[in-house]
Amino acid sequence: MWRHLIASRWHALSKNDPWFFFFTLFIIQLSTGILLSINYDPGNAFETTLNMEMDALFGLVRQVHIWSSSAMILWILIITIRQGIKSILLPRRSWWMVIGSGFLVLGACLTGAFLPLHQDGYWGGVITREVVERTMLIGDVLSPVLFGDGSIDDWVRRFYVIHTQVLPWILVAVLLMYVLSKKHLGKKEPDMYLRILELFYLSIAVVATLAILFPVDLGSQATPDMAPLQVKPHWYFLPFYQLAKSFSVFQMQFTFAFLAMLLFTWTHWRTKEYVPIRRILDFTGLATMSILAGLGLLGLCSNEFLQFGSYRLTFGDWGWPVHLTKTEEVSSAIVWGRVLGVMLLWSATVAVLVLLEKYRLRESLRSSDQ
Amino acid sequence: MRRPTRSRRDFLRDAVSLLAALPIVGWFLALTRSSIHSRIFSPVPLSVENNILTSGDLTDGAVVTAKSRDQTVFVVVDDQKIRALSARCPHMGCSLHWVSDKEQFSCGCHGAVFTKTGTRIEGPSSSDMTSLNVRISNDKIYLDGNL
Repeated sequence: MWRHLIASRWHALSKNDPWFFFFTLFIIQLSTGILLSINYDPGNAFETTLNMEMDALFGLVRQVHIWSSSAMILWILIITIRQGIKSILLPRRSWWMVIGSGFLVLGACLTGAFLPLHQDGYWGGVITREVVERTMLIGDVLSPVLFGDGSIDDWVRRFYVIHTQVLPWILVAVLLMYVLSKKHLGKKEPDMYLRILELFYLSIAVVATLAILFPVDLGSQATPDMAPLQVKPHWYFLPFYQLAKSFSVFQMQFTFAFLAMLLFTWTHWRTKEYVPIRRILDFTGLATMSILAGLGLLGLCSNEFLQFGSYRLTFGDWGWPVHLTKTEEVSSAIVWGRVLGVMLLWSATVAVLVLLEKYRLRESLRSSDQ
Repeated sequence: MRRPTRSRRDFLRDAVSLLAALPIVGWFLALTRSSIHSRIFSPVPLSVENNILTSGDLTDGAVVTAKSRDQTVFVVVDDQKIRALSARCPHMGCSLHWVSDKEQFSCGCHGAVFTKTGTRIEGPSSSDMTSLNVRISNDKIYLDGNL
């Protein structure tokens, strides 16, 4: 009976379900997060994070945690765009998981980025606090709960609890709801488990490769009395960073409310046949996504430069290219240890995948014999 | 005479209404938060790197980065008038820098720019820098009111 119960739950999902990649990323996040929480101490945040960064294993674990969170958000964006394009032609269904998981993951990213108490994370937290505090009606009630009495220790401890206890459990509940809601929709697929296992190994390999080759710099310890000369958020907040360069807090809140309402109607509007509002909604949704992507690109470029051989393209405060200058050629150093690590990682991954595939083929042959 | 017993339903109703009242109580507590802060703090003179700032340290045209507890305050002397400007950017709460060669304050987060006296020049901030009242007693400089 127990076996039947598990089987009936899991066979309900299709093996091509786009959320499987999200599930595997979430499992990576849970396991790396637990490893990080062993070494992390909210009372001594920056030192413990720096010690982890110096450690070969925990430094990698931390980088995997960061890259995997980026991959989670990227995957939610991809699913949103995919469903938005699909729903132009096909009957519209509700894709509530985008909202159900999106806000939780964004919240986890906001709170998690603050935890190391490095410059970028701290000042990102300050801006979040300011926006929340000045929100009508809920600001006065929420800010003592989220940010505490004003001391940084209290603030870190609260964010730590929200990041490690509150949000993950809500996300677990949402994922469980998703699996249960698919209970009657799927069909039985015998090689399901192996496909999931393959996907799992593949996603770990992809995320670990990114983490080894492009480690995210921790930077220096936060100085609460003096902000650094430039603060930039992670890529997924860049559109809002770019907007904040010209918007006041009230205008930002208005934008957030508009985006939330648009996302909610866009993902929950269910119709079988053509209605004009459906097309308007799809068009507005996709157009908003493209505008946000463009703003994000401008935010990414602002006050940076691109090097093509000996030519350097410099971008201004607003992200537009300002001037092209001729400089000395900059040779980029390749860290061979990292390349070796990636090669080892991928040979192990390919070996595991080949083994699994062999096993899967044998299983499917055996089940077709019966 | 027996007292009428409370049924389970009565108890549940009371419990639920108590739970519902909690956020309302919390709301009023949150409203009083700001007034509590200003009562607890006693005035502390401004300091520069752990030395107490005196009015003798201030020359005309100077911009001194001072501290009151953990908060940064710019003390600006302009036309013999001493002003204290909070280093908190009125836009989104980052801390402002004094750019001495341009004679202006600027924010590294979203690019707000202010004059030496705290008036907004450009950028996303909708208001000027927060000006704080200054009180001088025994040559020491105090802030009136909280930050």
